[in-house]
Amino acid sequence: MKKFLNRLLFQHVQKKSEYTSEPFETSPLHHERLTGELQNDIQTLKALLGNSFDLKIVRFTSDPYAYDGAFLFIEELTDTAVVHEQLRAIRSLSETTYLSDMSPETMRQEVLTISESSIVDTLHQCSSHLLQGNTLILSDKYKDGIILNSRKMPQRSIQAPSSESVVRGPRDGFVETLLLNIGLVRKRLKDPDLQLDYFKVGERSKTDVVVMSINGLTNPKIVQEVKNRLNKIDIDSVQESGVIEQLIEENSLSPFPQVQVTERPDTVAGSLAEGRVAIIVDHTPFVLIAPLTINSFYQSAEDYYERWVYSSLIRILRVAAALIALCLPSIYVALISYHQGLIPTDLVISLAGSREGVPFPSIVEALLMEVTIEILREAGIRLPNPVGQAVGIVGGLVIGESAVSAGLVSPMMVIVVALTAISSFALPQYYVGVSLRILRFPIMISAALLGLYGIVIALILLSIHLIRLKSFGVYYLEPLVPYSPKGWKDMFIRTQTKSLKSRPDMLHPQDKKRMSSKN
Amino acid sequence: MKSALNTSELTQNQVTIGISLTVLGVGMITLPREVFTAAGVASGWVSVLLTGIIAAGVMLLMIVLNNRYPGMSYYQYNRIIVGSWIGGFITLITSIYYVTFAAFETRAMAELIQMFILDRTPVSFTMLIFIGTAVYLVLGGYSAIFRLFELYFPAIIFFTLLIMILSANQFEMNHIRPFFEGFPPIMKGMSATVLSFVGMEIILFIQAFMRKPERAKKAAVYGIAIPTVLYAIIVIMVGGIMGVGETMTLVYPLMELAKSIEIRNFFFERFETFFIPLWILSIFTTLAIVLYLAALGIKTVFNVKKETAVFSIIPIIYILAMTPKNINEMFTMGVWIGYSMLAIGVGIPLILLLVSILRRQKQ
Repeated sequence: MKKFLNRLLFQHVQKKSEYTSEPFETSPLHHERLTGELQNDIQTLKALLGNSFDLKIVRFTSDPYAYDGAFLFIEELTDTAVVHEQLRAIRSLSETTYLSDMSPETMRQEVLTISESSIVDTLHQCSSHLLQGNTLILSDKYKDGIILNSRKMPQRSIQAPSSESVVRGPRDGFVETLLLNIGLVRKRLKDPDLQLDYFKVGERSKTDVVVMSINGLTNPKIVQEVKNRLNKIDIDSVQESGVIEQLIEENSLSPFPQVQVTERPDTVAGSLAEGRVAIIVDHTPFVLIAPLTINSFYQSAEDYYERWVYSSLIRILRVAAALIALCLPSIYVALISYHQGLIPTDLVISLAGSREGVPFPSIVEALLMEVTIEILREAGIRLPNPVGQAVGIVGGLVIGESAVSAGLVSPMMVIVVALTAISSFALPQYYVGVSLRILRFPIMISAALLGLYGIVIALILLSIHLIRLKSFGVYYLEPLVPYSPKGWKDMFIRTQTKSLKSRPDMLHPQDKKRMSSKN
Repeated sequence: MKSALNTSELTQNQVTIGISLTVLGVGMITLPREVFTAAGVASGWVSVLLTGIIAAGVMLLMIVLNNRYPGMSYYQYNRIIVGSWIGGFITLITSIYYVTFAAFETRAMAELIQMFILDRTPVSFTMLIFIGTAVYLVLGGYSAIFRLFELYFPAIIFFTLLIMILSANQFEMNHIRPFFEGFPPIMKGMSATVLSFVGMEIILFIQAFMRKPERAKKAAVYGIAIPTVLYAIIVIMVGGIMGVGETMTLVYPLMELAKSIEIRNFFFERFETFFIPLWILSIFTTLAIVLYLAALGIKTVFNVKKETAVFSIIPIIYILAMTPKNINEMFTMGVWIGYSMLAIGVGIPLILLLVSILRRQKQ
C-alpha cells in the first residue's frame, strides 16, 4: 500500500516536472507536424489558437495558380508593413521564376526581402511564433513553414524616471520594452564581455527575462545563484518585476527588500560595473539589481556625479534622516511616558503645558497622528496629481492644526510626526522609506511598553535581523560588517573618486581593479 | 536558501573583537569599586594591567592546546585527551558554568535597568525579554554573533571613551597618587579583577571557527589588550575623579562618573541615561556568546539539536537569575563565577594541556 502510494506520488511529481519543462503540452495537436495541405493546416492552427478573430489569413497565389500560399499573423501583435512588403516581393517575381519549384529554404533566401526569418515544421512552433507577433507563411506543397520576424513593439518614448529623479545625471529612464531597455544599458557599457542570459518565466505569460552580468568581472557564483532561482520559478503569469523579486529573494518575512529596484539605466550600468547582476523583465520599466546591501538605503547614483564633499555630506544627512524616520516618535513616546527627567526643565514645563488637556497617553497620540499621516500619503498617491496635492495640503494643515486646537494631540507631537514623515521621504529609494515606516510602529509600541529599554531592545533585535539577513549570499550589512576598510571608502562618506581604485570586496568580483594607480 | 559565497568563518578582526566584547561585560561598570575595595590604594590600575598580562599568557597556553588538535573546539578534543566519560563531564560542568554566567549577566542587566530607568517594571519581565533577544541571535550561529559584535564594537568603545573625555575636566591627579605602594595591595587588587576578565577562555572554542587559525595568537593578544587598557583607563579616571574612598561606596562607579558629567545648554539633561544603552549592549554581547557556548556544550554532551539545547537552558538561566535575593547576593554570585572561571575555564584546560603533552598526543 505504502509502495503504491509512493509510486503514485512519485509519478505525480514526474508528470509535473515534465509539464514544467514542456509547458506547451496542453493539446495533443501540438506535437504534430504541418501536413502540407494548406486548408487543413490553416484549420488546425485556427483551432489551436481558439478560433480567435484576430488571427488574420492572407491567401495569395503565384505561378499562374500553380502555387497556393497564405500569410498568417495575429493582427495587433504584428507589424503589417512587413507582410505587405513580402507580398509585394512575391508579386514582383519575374515570369520565369516559379515559387512551386523552390523549397521554402530557397524561397526564404532568394525571394523574401526580410532579414530575419526561419523555417519551422511543427504546429507547436507555428503557434508560439504567431503568439509572439511573427508571421507564418504556409504553402500548399511543402511541409515546412516560413517564419518572418514582424513583431510590433509598442513603446512609450523615453522619459525621465519619475520615482528616482536627480539634480545631476542623465534624464532617460527605462520604458516597458525589453529590447530598448537592454539597449539603454548596452549604450552605457560597450563591453564585449557584457553577458545576456535569456529566460522565459511564466507558463502562460511567457514573459521574457534577461539576466545581465559582465564576464570575467561579476562573481560567477552570484550569477549562477540568480539563474538557479529564476529557473526554479514555476508560475503561470508574471506581469511585473516585483513578482520575480518576491520569488527570488532569500527571506520573504523580512521587512527589508533584498533586491534593488531602479528605473535608471545609469544605475544599472554602474551596478554592473561594480559586480552586481541586473534582471530586466519585459513590459516593465523597473529593473532588478542583485545583490542589495544596506548601502543602497542611503546611496543614490547621483552621489558619484557630484563632488565628493557634497556627496558625503548628503549621505550623512540621509543616514540621519533614516534614523529619525525610524526612531524619533518612539524616543518622544519614551521620554514623555517614562523619562521626563531627561528633558531640560524649561522644556518639560512647556511640554507639560501643551499636553494639558490631551486626554490620551502619548502612545495613543503618536499612533493616531502616524496613522493619519500614512492615510494622507496613501490618498495623495492614488488621486490625480493636482487633487493629490490639494488633499495633502488640506489634510496636513487642517487636520494637524485642528487636532491641536481640538485638544486631541499636543503641538509637539505634530512636529515630531511631520519631521518623521518628511525624513522618510528624504531617502533616495522609495521602497526603503517604506520598510523604515513599517518598522517605526513596532519600535513605538516597545517604547510605550518599556521606555528607553524597549527602544534599545527593539534596535538590538533589528540589528540581529540585519546581521542574519543575506542577499544572494552577500551579507546585508557588508561592507560595514564584516569589516572591509576598502569598502568604507564608499559608505557613509564617499571619498574622492581618485581613491576608489578597487571594486567593492563584498561582491567578490573577479576583476578587482577599477582604476589604474596612475590617476 | 543556501548561500552562494561561503563567508561564515571568522576573521582575525572578528576574533579580536569577540574576545574584547566577551570580556567587557558587567565588569566594566563595577570594576573600579571592586579593585579599590580589595586593594585599598590608588594603584589599583596596576593590578588591572598585570591581570591582563597574565590573562594574555594563559590565552597563549590555551592556543598551544588548541594547536595540538587543529580544527577542533575544546568540547570536541577534551574527550580525546581524557576519554569520553571524563571529557563529557568536563563539557557538562563547563556548560553549567556558562549557564550560571549567563544568569548573572542577565540579572546584573535587570538590576541596572531597574535602578536607572524602569523602577516599576518587574525584573522578571526585563530579563525574559533580554534572554529572548539573545536567543534570537544565538539561533543564527556563531557567525552572526561575531558579525554583530563587529557592529557594536565601535559604538561601545566610542561611548566609553566619550564618558572619559567629557569628565576629564574633573580629574585630579592627587586622587590617584601615589602610583606605587608596594606589592601586597596590588596582588589583592588582582584577585578582585578576576571577574572582569571572565570570558577570555572563549579562545578555546572559537579558534576552530577561524578562517586562518594560525592568526589566533595575534587575535588573542589584541583581544585581551583592548579590554585591559580600557579597564585601566576606567580605573584611573574613576579613581582620579571620585577618589578611592568614595569609589568604594558606589555600586556602579562608572555610572556615577557619567552622572557627574554636566554639559550646559545641551538639549538633554541627566546625560547618564544615554549611556544605559551602552551597558545594555556590552552586557548583551557577553550574554550572547556565553549562551551560545552553554548551548554548544549541551548539544555536544546530550547529542541534541541546537534549537533543543538553546531552549532547554532558557528556564535554567531564568531560575538561576531569579535566585539572588538582592543586589549584594548578586555580586557574591559574580565573585563565585570569577573563582569558577579560574577552576573551569583556566585550571582544567591547563591540566588537559599537561595531560596531552604527557601522553604525547598530537593531531
